[in-house]
Amino acid sequence: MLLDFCDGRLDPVIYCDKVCADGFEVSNLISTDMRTRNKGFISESFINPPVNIRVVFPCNIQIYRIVINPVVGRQKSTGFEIFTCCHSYTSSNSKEQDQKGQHQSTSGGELFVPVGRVLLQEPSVVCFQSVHFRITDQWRPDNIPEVDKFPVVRDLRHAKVGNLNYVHQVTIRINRTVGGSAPCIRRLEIWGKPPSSCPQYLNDKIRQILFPSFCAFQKEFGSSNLDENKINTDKDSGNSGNNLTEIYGENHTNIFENGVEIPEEFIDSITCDMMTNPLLLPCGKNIDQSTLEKHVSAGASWGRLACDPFTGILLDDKNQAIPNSHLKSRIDQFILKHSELLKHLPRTLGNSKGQGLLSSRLVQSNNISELKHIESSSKYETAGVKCQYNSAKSNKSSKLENDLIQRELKRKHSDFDDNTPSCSSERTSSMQLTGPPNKRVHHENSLQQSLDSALDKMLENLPTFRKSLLANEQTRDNDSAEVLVHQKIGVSKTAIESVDSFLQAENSSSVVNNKAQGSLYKSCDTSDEILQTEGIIKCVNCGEDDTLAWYRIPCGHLYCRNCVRSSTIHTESMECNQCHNICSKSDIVKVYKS
Amino acid sequence: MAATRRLQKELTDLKKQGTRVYRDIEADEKYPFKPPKITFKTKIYHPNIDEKGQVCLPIISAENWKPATKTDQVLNALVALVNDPEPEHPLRADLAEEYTKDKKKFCKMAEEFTKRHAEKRPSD
Repeated sequence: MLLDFCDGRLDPVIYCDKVCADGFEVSNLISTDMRTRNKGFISESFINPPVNIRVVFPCNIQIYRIVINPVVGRQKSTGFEIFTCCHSYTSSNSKEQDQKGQHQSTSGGELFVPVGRVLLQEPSVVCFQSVHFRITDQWRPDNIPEVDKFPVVRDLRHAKVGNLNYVHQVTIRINRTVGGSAPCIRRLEIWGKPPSSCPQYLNDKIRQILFPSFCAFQKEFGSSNLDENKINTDKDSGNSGNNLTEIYGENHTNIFENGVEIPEEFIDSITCDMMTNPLLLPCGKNIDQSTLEKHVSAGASWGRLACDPFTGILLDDKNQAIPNSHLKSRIDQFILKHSELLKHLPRTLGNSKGQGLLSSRLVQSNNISELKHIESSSKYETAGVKCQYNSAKSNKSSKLENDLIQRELKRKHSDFDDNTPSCSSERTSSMQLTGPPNKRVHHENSLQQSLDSALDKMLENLPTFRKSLLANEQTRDNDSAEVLVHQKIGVSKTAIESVDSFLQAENSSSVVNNKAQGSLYKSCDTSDEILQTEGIIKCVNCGEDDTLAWYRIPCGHLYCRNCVRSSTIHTESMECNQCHNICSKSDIVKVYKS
Repeated sequence: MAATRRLQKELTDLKKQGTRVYRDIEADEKYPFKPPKITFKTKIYHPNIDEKGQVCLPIISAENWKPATKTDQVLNALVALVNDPEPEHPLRADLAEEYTKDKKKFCKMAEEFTKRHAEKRPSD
């Protein structure tokens, strides 16, 4: 990481040899206040070029890049020249420096050498890059944009390398403007690093300035720490690079999980595990929900109230840990992408009834099927519920399970008969099969009170189902997005007998369906998917198209998070505003853009 | 699991900072939600450390402990306590009294005590 020496926190001094316009003083360019800094510098309107702006650094620096934005409102500068001055750094006080500088300038002792110039046709951001800068491990230009991002790039070069690698002052001369415009600079950035011979006290200063949190913690834990640190820094004898990387090093311990590097932001800094359900704390850090729960319960055992584990601030109505849904989306997306290697990690799914927020279910991606068309009806719900019971409760007694399923099915059945008696074979999601047949579960909608009779009925209904599917394809072509969904088909690990028979029956039906080209399969064990699409996906309600995760309701329409939230905030069901099917909150499936 | 991993990370951070690796650091199951325990294996003549090696360190007391507190902070606090005893909160009142009233004598006693009980340094 490089430093911007125009950052006011690093104490540069800036001069201009002409009068500045009110509110656009040259000191704006080094202001610590972002708003002031973004106002930029304009000289008084009657000033003609050239205008010299001189920046004096607190120490001699190695320049890597100078970036100039030459447009302030209607004022535009087009010609720039860069001069540098290096004089050996001796004084330890900035006042002394100034006096010395003045002294030298009056005696003409300061020698400025030209290192770069540009004449712009069109005023745009110009980037001067030093050809003499050596990138080291400690000083990488990783916090600034690539050089090819700039519309205009020029080199900074000089026969004497020291004139770019040991710079005490930089003068930027504005020597041309557009029309009658006043010379101006919107923003000036001078990126570089302190030289390896930088004095010790400046090192400390840079540390204090750039890492106030680090210093704050030192204060918090008493002066003894500070002493320790001083000893350490003394040992390092003025090598600023070492000190800085020491501090950075803490953050850069990469954590690998099964060979996959986990991004730093996904790591809970207290447990050093990957977060499942990130919460944003009042102090601005993210930790996992389970971590906070453990912390609160540990605190409660000592009679402490719930507090922020970093700062100790009490968590009350005003200061609360809030779920960081955006980070969570990215974590879930990351885990889905690496589902093969990260399958042992817990993650949350919102689609399962009777399971808490922290329930973990694994994604196996060995049977990836292509979803050709997403079509669905509210009828899908019944099958979905049944299969969820299969997978979630297969370990439990089969009798209880059957009872539950039957009760559930009865209820659903009566619901749907009232609503849509004719579309008994409308289907949910059509997928092309690629996996082995015994790992597929096919859902049919005409369900009877018992599983067996449900299966019989299902097989009878297959032909009609196909017909109405074809009809549906035509009618729904307009509003259903062409999406491909990589989807996993799961199997319950210890399937009970009744489920086995159910699966067998379905296998036979799936063969039929395969021939029928429009076979419809929906995985029952996952509810999160990665969505691949060429077109733009939009929320059918509000048209939002810039979000990480989408929510698909059983009829196949995609909604953004806000719309789903707003429509399910008070009720457990949601009505699609396209096809007016009502679905239950638990059947909303989260999908991710690939 | 979390405890081991957290400790591993902190020890690598310590190594990066150039601290010599400490032996006998083990992760309790409850760490980092409960504070770690520190005991001295070598006998030491110190008002804040009792004969059994128990030490009273504010940073790892239950009231002050935060899960975000890092091992190096704890170690630094410990080193500071060993170097500058706090006779106001003694575990061994006799030593504290001696330390406040007759510091020379205390230092002499401590030196003798150390000669008798100290172990060799791992590698200097």
